Amino acid sequence: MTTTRLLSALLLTAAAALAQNKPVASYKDIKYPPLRSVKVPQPARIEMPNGMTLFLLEDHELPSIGMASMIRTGSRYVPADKAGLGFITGRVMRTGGTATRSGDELDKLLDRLGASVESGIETDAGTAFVSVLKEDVDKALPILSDILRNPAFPEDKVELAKTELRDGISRRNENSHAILQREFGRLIYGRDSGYTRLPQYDTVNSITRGDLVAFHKQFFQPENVILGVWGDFDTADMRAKIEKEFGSWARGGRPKPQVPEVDPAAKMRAGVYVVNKEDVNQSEIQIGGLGGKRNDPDYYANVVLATALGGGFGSRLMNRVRSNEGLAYSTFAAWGAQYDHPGLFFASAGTKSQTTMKALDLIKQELVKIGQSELTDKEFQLAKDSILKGTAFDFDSTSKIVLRLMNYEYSGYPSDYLQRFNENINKVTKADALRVAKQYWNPANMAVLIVGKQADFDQPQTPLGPLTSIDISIPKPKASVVAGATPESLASGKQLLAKVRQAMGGEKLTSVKSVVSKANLTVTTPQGEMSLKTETTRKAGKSLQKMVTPMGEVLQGFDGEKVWMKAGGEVQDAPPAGVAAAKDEAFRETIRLLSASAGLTAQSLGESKLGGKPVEGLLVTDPTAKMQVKLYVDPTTNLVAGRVYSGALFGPPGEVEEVYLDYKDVNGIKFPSHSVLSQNGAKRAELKIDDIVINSEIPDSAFARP
Amino acid sequence: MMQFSTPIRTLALALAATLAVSAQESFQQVQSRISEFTLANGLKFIILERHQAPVASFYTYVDAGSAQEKTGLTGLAHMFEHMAFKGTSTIGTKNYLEEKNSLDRVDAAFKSLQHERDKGRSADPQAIKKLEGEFKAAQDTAGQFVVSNEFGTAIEQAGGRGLNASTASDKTDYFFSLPSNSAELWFFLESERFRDPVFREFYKERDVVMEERRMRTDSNPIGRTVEEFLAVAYKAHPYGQPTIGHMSDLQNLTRKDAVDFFKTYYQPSNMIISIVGDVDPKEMKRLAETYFGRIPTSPRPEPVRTVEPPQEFERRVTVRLNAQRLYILGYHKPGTDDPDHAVYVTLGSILSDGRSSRLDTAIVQQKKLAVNAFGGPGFPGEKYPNLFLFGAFTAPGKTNEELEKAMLAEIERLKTEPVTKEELDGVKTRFRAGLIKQFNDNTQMAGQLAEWQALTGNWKNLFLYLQKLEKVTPDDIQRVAKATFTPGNRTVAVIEPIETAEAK
Repeated sequence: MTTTRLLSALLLTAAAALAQNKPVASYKDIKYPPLRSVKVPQPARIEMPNGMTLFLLEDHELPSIGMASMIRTGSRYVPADKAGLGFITGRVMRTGGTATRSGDELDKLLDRLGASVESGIETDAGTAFVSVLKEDVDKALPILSDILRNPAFPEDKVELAKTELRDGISRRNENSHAILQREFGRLIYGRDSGYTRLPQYDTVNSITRGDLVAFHKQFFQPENVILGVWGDFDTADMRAKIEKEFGSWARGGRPKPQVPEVDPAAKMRAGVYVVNKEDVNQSEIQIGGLGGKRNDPDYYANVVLATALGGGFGSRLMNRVRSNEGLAYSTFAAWGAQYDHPGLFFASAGTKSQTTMKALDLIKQELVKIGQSELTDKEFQLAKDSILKGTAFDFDSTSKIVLRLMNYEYSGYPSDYLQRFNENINKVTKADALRVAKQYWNPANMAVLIVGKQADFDQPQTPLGPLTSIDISIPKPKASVVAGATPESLASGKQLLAKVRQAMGGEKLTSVKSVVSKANLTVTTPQGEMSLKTETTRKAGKSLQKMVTPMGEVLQGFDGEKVWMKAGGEVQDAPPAGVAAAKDEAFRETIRLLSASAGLTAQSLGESKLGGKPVEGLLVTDPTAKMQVKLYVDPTTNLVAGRVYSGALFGPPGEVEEVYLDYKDVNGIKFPSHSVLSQNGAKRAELKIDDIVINSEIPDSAFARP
Repeated sequence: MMQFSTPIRTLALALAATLAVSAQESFQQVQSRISEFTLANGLKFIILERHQAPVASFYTYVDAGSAQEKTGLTGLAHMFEHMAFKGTSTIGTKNYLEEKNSLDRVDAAFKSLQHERDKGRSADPQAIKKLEGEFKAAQDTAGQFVVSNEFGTAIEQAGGRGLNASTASDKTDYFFSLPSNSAELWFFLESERFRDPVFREFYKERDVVMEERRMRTDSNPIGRTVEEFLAVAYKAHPYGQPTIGHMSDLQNLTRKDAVDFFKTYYQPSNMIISIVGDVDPKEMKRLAETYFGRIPTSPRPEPVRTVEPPQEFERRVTVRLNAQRLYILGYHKPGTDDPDHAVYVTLGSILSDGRSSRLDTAIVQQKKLAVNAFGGPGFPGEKYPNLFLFGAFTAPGKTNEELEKAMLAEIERLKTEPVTKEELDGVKTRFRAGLIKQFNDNTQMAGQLAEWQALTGNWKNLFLYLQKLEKVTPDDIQRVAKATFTPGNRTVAVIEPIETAEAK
């Protein structure tokens, strides 16, 4: 046996002795070898003459290439009346294709290559991502360049993106957690902040192709673009390819967009807010406020504190709210920080409706407690370890490394920010954590939002003050402005309206002060037809409706400001959407509409058909109240033959069509007395009035909430 | 058929050849870094080395899911998954001997309460109140011995990431990632929790799971619709049961139920472990023997023998909710071991992979009847005969009837018009590209290796699947479409918006 062999045999024995095949008794006894140090690959940072910044990082493990681009733009720069423009622009840049290749061609080519090129505009940045096998990079890179520089924005794809956005609007109140996230942001930043503004039907409808072209032009210039590439390439080679594709893109010269400030009032939004959602059995609860940026001095202490409070399995909220009390599946806390504007911080939980206030109270107690005394040594160390010992994961893929540096570049952070972050976390003391707990996490100064079924809450009161309701009903689209509103159509509309007034009662119309009508209402439901007796009293825009239903008498009143309903001895207020609907209804009430003289415009819509009969269309608008109704006129009698308006008949809002089949003459005034209502072509209801009394003495108190 | 060779065609062929070669090379390269071993007790390990960063992902696949649940015990597989985070006789306790007795008393108190509740209308409300008090008191006593969430905390303390688990119809899986020097921590914790689990805080965790049900199903229009859909699509096989469990079953599950389930299904031969990352396979084997070798061997559990009878008549359910329209359509098809598996996968890819896919082009872009449309096999699981599922979010102002007509027309097209070579080539390229993308993610790759091993008996099939896709012909597509997409084999669920409070 030679010395070398002997030595190696000895070494083997020693190694075997070290690596005993015996399980440890406790995980605390495990001896960990030191973490292998690896050389962290550094991307090449290149500034192109036209101002574009590149980060290139070779990674030859797999034959593929990834790219990401960040563009200095964002939906936060979109004006309020065009909310949704960011999403649509970002989407159609890719789906609409470019001047030289259509979106459909791109779809086909990329699907055939198993590649993807996608673009989007987020709140605070524009983005584009490419994923491609390395053989096809010469096909994908020109596509990326082309969609960033020369998007075509064809009308059909703009319309498709608008449909997608409208669909998103219509579905946005279906998921409690999504409502919570969205409304909490709106609560803190404000409802009209660029960070929280919501697209609405009206803002989406108003967006034109020209808006996309202008928005794109404003921001997409090479000095606003950062491009990162990682994967199986040679850096010099990739640089040449990028220069070939992007080098001819001339500087735009427009200044770098300024980051919009957050409303200073966002710091003080204490209060308890509720979104009532009838069709759920679980409440989503969140308490929090305006956080900060990732380079604030207090950021690091807040991260440690939030981790101990609700950052994982070992956190206080997890132990108390979930494990000890079984009150929630999901409960956590986070100090939300953004790179260039303050984020949101919060603690949250989802619990059944019947334990809503109990869970909120537990969270409150934990917040109070964490502001009273320092974290225990164990908690404090766990929070720091869980953050710092996972640092190896920050470098486990080249895409992570490149994307991180791109974010730092985009927001003006130093390239060694991560290292500084780790050092700063390490420096946090228990006293620091207690200080920020007192300063930021005091429940008395925080905003609470609950999304849930209010009627099933365990208590009507909250442990943190009175409840304020938030209305999240989706604003209906304003009636569309009909094309061709010319001086001629307005003039002929005015004439026709005058004729209709004459035919329906002339001067006598203005003598109507109050109307009481008794009717039989037949409603068509999927389960069959149902008949009800109704009595409606109207006076000066106010109304009172009495209905006799199989469940008893139901009263619904509108006093001009509030809508209330009384059924089974209980009185309830309608949500703001119900008030808006009542106002709309008061506006279009036919006799009252015709008696109003000033302030209305009428536009002729020409000949059309209603209920199978030829009619003349008339669009009547109150421009100040922004209300509209389409009246259809029988050309032989000049009587109103029916009306069409946007509203809801036992279903989602849409166009409601009402055809008048008969009239009752009361003191020379023609009251429509028999009508059929339908929506989407399907009959929904039929109304027959038996008796009409006008100008009986009705006190205002008749409409007041009982 | 005559074949021409044009310059463009030659170029295309050359390009396709390079692509195939480099992808194939990388497949071989990755495969050469995969090793496997099986312990004496039957537990199989698959190891993929990736040394880019000092981290590793650990993944345990248990070949048991909600399909293993019996009537009255729905939600049990998932309930056990939650219990697997509750610790052992040495993790999560202050004094196990005393705790053990107190846990027995909690069970007894629950049984007494359950017994009184079982009397239904003749139950004595006073007695129930008293028993509820005793049940709570017993839990409070047991709770005094608990070190809350010690199991998860140990992983966080080591800088672990992505700690989680999931339960599905076919499987339950457990996973997290660690800095690679802490691998032994995973071996210790994972072997302990499947060797010596203690089902502490069982009844409180049941409440947590009920909250999970409220979140995922009761308060979620899509969750509710899918539950209705599956209940209608299956009348015999447990794939029709909700994985989360029925509320009344959850309310009555006992600790013993969970222990029995664990003993039956959490056997070494019924589990597969995969590790991907910066690890040494020899060291992994040594640690595996040291820690998992302690688990005794047991027979594999009995299979599910219920077979869903062929569906002969269309089934339909309308879910009326305060929500926008949604359309779901399913057809029964065979399970993983079917020779036409690759044909179904190809069908799914042609229908819905990418913007140029058939459903996106026809239903979303051209007819504008939906904002999103998809179709593919493998719902709700893969192991047993399952559903080829179609779905779409109906566009605003469009009806489910219009959408269904268009969807069925696309399905008919599959039977009457042969798919193109271009479409078939796209499927293969996307599969290759997708596979390469997965190699880049330790956790995803670990999951894939274990799942292919479990479902097909060999992880290597993941790499051989491309050959199966190569063999799919346009005739196969037509044949399978004709056999599967028949009117009698159809189940439909739709959301129709209900009449809202705004209605007048």
